[in-house]
Amino acid sequence: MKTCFRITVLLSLVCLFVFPCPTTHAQSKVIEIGAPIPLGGVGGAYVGIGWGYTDCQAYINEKGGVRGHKIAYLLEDNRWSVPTEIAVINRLLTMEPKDQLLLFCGNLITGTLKAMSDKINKEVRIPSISLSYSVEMFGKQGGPAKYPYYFSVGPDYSQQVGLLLRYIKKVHKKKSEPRLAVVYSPTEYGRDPLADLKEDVKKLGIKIVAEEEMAITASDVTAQVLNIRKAKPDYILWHGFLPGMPVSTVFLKTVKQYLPKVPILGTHYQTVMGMITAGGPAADGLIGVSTSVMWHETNNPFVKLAHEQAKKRGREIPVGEESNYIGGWMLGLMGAHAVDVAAASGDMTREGVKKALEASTWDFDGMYEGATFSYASHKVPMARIFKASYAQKRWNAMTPWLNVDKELK
Amino acid sequence: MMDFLQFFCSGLLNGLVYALLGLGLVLIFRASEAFNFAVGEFLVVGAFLFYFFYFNWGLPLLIALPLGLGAAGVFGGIVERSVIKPLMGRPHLSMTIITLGLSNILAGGLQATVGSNPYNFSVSLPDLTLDLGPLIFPSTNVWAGILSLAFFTMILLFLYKTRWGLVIQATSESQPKALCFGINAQSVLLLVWAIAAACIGASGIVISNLGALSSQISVVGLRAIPVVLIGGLDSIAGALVGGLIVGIAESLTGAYLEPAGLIGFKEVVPYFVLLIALFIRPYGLLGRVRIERV
Amino acid sequence: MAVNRTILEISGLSLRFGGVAALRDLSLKIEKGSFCSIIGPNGAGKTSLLNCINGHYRPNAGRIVLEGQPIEGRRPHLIASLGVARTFQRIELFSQMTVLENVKLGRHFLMKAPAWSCFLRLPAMVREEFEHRRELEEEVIDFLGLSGVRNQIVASLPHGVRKRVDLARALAMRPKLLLLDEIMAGMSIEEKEDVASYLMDVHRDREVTIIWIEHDLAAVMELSEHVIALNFGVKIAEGAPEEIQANPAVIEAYLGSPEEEQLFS
Ligand SMILES: Nc1ncnc2c1ncn2[C@@H]1O[C@H](COP(=O)(O)OP(=O)(O)O)[C@@H](O)[C@H]1O
Ligand SMILES: [Mg+2]
Repeated sequence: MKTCFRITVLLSLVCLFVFPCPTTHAQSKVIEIGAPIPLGGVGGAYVGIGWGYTDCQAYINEKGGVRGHKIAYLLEDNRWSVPTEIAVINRLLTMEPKDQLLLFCGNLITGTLKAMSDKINKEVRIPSISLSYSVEMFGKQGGPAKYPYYFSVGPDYSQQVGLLLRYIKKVHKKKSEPRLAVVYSPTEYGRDPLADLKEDVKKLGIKIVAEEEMAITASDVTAQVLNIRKAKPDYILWHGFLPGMPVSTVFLKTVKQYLPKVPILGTHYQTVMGMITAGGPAADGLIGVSTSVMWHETNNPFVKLAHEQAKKRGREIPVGEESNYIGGWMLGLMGAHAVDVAAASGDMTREGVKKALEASTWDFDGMYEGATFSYASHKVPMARIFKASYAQKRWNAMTPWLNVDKELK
Repeated sequence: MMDFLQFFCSGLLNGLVYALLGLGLVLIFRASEAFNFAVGEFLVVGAFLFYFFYFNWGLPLLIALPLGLGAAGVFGGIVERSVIKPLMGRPHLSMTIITLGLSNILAGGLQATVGSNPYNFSVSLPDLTLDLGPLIFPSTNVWAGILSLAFFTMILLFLYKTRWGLVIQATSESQPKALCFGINAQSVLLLVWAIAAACIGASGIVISNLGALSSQISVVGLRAIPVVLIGGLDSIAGALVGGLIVGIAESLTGAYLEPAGLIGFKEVVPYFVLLIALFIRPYGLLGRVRIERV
Repeated sequence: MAVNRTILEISGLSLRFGGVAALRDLSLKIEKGSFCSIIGPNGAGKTSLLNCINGHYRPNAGRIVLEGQPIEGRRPHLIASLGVARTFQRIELFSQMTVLENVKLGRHFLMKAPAWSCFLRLPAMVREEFEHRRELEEEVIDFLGLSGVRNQIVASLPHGVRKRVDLARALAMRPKLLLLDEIMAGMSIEEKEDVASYLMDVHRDREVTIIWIEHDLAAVMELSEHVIALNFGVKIAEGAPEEIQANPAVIEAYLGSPEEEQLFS
């Protein structure tokens, strides 16, 4: 009897988890935005993104939603894993009504974009705003022609690297051409900008003197750093790492000791607050390109909004989560804005949202400080170069917003 | 040649850290005949305990280090009392299996309490960079080697030069015999788990200081598996030998094989060495050959 | 005052291994300060009795009372801490350690300094260690004539010496009650004589109660004050050596057994 009872309870619990209660449909339907984000796994937990979404959702709905429709970000953990993220996306696509789930915006790892490209771009046709900057997806080989439903929030990795290379040219004082060591992770995203990089350096007159791969699980990178040291570089470019990966800090600390004078330059994901909190003094002086704004830039209207909202909701953003929190806000507002534009044109469908995004000239409540750009390329062409200050615990902007469409001509 | 020497010595320094990690496992295996699969989590917990004392509370290193290691020891003791002791008298395999479960539970607990983001972990130690012209060994690596060796030696002295060490050896050899000698075998097991946890915690501190501290460095703990299997699960000297072999093998692989395109081979090479070692001696290089008793 | 005179009282003790009953409803009393022998043919249950007393085996039924405290079923180290030490029929020493180390291990449970004080080498711990060491050297190692081999590995020693080391380890435990299991087995005549004189000294000078299992009945008759005879787990006779020697049940028990001829030789 007892066993029978237990099994019944267990089964009901399982059912509860497997088949969640259907959402009650109010008069005006809730607009849903699928948002897979990493809350654990190889790259670490980016809970700040989730907070950003949550606060953004509350902010929008308190204002009355998007033209009378409440908005809901469906947060899901993707564990930095392509199979998990694919499962999440597939589940949302099957379970949520077509007229409610209008777009995805979230992590959407490069691997997922690749694997899901036919399903998303040809079958389901749902706009998906990704945090990936993959060249393969968004660069010359990819882009809207090939992947009409994929969107990105910043320049692709090749363009980011391009900005860094031009920065090197600008600051290089020696007579001889700059000697560059390139370090990347042997991953899809790590190798992504390599081909373009090699062409670009030739054009610019920069010499690649060392090329090292560094596994993201490595706990010791002495060999790579020693090889770099032998090549006597003036600059090190690193790409394909996240602050949550143990190897990132190991690398910073090792370089700091073997090559204390050589500046390290990185792409967007190396240029986040987490890198300073994890790396500590070893992160001081890091240079990086970021497509985002920084938490301390309270003069920026967008950052100001995020600060106000965080304060209003009693949200303490711990050190290291700032970039993530801002990222959540940025994606959240971007999605809501697209739905808004679509609704205004009377086409509140997935197709309408896609058109709205492509036509968008909106600058995230002033995030780009009045700079204008086109989103026709499906990527926001804006980025800045920053330098890390350990003492101030922040990234200080070294340049104003740069529009890659103009800079990299 | 200079290159080789550089990589060899870098590997040696890392190997000392592995040796300390291995020592923790060997101590537990000798006393409880259990392989502690939760070694990675022990490592993270130990490092975090030190983190609290040193970084959060800002205690001086010379106070924070013993406190942190002591706390790690208490943690090991709690694990022994709550998880291992109830299994006394059951097949030894059940203890090993339960450490697998423990590993999952601890990993979940860590995720819930400290999250999976990295914490900056830079202990301020005097600069000991060894710059010998063509050879260079950075300060953190030199310190890693020195601290590991010092801790290893301390445990060794305790085991072989003190009465309690003698008692641990005796109990590890045979609990029934020890009981008849009037030795409270259970409290000795408690002590062994505490020392082993402190040992693993110490290597956690050293490893974190090479990079950052996060719950993800628990994967480094798994590197202890080839270390102790190469040296012999029940051999203390084996932990040292195994650790050095793995450290050097990794370093040389990173220097000569990985650039040839075998990226990530570093993680695999300890298992290759293990395979060879087990071909030569099935119980590990210094392990005691076990005669199956009927 | 009778209670005070008894150090060990066993009543209704039974021990079974599957179908084999090693001890059956055994009851006996040992006087404080006595030198008591237990005899009986092989398989009579003598070793099992000692194993029950020192906690190595858990009896199925019965009581064992040591100086008024019930101890049956307690773990061996607790019983040892009450002053019960024993030697083993098959020597149970740590054979890869030295003689001195084995003896020190026997003394461990009487020493107070905790493990962490060994890490720090606190003066109190060093002092304690020194005092015990001196006592062990004098009263155990020198006493049993083991000073020449104190730093040798036990495994390298001849059988007779190892038996003596086993005794040394038991003495290191400062016993009130010393349980000896066939300590003279396999010894030469001279070695037996040596051990006999050590035992007499221990018994007389240190006021240790001794329970001694022995097959060499001549030695038993010469040394012991009281003899208990077991057969098939049952006490068949008890009394002064001369009485036992003449007891028909005892003679019966030994009849047909290999020891028959040497019984009263
Ligand atoms: N651990 C054991 N397992 C099974 N049977 C045992 C065990 N110990 C003793 N016995 C049995 O108990 C009986 C008494 O054995 P023991 O006490 O060793 O006799 P003694 O010491 O008088 O020669 C024997 O029949 C023996 O086979
Ligand atoms: Mg016997």
